[in-house]
Amino acid sequence: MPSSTDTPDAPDAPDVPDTPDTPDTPDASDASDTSAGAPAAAPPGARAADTGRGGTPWSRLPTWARRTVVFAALIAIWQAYASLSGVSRFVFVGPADVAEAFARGWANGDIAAATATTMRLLLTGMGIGIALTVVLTVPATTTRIGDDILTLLTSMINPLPSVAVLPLAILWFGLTDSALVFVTANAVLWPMTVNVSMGFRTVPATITMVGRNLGLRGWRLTRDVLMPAALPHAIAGLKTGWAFGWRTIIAAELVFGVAGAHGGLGFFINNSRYFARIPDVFAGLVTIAVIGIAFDLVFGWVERRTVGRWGMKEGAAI
Amino acid sequence: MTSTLYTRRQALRLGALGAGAAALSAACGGGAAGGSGKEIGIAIGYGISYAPFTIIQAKRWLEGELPDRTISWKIISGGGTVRDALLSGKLHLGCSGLGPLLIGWDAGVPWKIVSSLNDMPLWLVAKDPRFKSLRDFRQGDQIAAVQPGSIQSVMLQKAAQQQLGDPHALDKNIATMAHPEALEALLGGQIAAAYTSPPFQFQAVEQGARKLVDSYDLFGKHGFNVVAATEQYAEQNPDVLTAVHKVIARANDFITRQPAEAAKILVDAEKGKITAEQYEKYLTYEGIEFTTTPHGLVKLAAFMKEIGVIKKAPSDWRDVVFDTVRNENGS
Repeated sequence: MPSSTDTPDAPDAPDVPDTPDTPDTPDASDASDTSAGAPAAAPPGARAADTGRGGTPWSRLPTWARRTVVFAALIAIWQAYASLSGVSRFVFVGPADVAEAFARGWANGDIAAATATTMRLLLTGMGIGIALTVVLTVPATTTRIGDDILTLLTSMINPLPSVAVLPLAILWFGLTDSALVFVTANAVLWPMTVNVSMGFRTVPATITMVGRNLGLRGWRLTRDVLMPAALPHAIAGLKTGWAFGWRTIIAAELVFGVAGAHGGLGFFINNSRYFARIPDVFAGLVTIAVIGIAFDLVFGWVERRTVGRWGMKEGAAI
Repeated sequence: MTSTLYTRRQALRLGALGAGAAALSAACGGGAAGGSGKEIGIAIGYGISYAPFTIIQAKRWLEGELPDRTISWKIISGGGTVRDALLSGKLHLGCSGLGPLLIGWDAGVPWKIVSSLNDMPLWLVAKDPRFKSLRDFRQGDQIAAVQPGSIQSVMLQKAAQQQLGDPHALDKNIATMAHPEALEALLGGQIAAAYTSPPFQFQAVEQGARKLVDSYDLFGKHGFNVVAATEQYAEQNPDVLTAVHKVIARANDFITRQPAEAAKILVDAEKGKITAEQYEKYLTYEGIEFTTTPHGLVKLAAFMKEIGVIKKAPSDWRDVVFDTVRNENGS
């Protein structure tokens, strides 16, 4: 790469011919990623000069190295703010304290127990949500009245933020696990039905007709033809459903105080706050973030192993 | 074309920088605890425990003592939340039960008592006839309290220690609720029992609930709510602390001497369902005393330490108060 491109002072000259900078490039942060994968030698240089000072060596680093540096810098800023700003340690704590609280919380089982409670509630809610999704979408695909019911229900309930039904759930179920499971099931159900019914609806007519020619009708047509064909949408729906459910259960637990015999992560955070254990509050948040990331990775992996591998990815609305 | 792109990108970056700086300065401005601004933020809670403040508000006594300050009143439920608000600097004086106050003090929160508000008996009440004593509570039978660690929770732990042999036997039964919600949930049958405060416990009993635990049986006559501030605020605003203590003493005296008048003020301020006669009855209920002096603090702290809620207990009640009440006859 010519060194002249590195200097930000002369950006105009090399930039003109390559023109990867068409206005449809969404934003500057994407630039480094695309350049790393670009086959031609010239565009990365042009891009690097474009992204500013020291761009070239930075974008030549592997992704993990860049991310690690950014991560380390963020942690350093966090620690520096906590130790140098003079902020009260009952308002804000640094990463060292949080790491210690995180390790202690997992070692003595407090966070593990809270996580187990939250996961149990979430998975129960998701299980119910998935069952109801099948119950609602299959008739909607095969019958007109089912379709009408589903469309109406979805358009009425889907826009409602799922935690908004919590007061109603408390009224119906009291301050119990059932109320939390109810809001979680409600949170995962609607985004999933939207995705799954979209999947059913976008099954290519040819495939359906082949199925019909083989003599398949009703449930067998749904099970053997429509469901596999709608899989990319179903996985996307599951992913969205999980994301909604996860946010909802944590929010609901924060509202709730104690649910039944054991509190979940939301309760863990609130309880730590009541007892002025601020590092534990942060440790609870870190746990929530880590679990969120872990699940996203799992869904990504499932997606690659199934629809990605089977070449169905194009159909997925992700 | 490229040059226009450049300016657009630079403009974007500048914009992001500007937004970041604005957010940062806003955060820093809000984060300064203490401060000696003109505004005084005071938080009170639910119940007749805060009657002195209702009277101070109605009679504008604090404005009279501090003519160059503006006073903003807020209602915040639970000492833990009050503590967070005080530390964030948004609030300057707040009310807390002795439980959260001691928990915060134990954890190292730089706050102390400006003045006590009262001594009050706190009752655990249940409506379902199934509950005759703490022995009848099973897993899932919920007991409302303002928060875990509240003075009511500590009383429940003391009662559990006496009746069940394990102070933590009912910890998992505690459901966090503000007093008015707790009363409604109890009467609506959604929870097994409620550990609230006057007048909610009296109202519950009037509507068919029974008293299971009386805190005066556990600890003798003891203080309930106190007004707290951070050490930083106290250092910078000694005049505010003195004035607040003075008007509370004045209001307490007023309530004690003229409960009928005080009850009328409460009715006017609340516009609720409680009549002046009822309020007068509540204010003068046996065992209720409006006083600026903290009572029973050391005994309560010793118990909290004994059962592991706090790690260190003050040996002298004066360790957790400001100069405002230091010369009073506390315990």
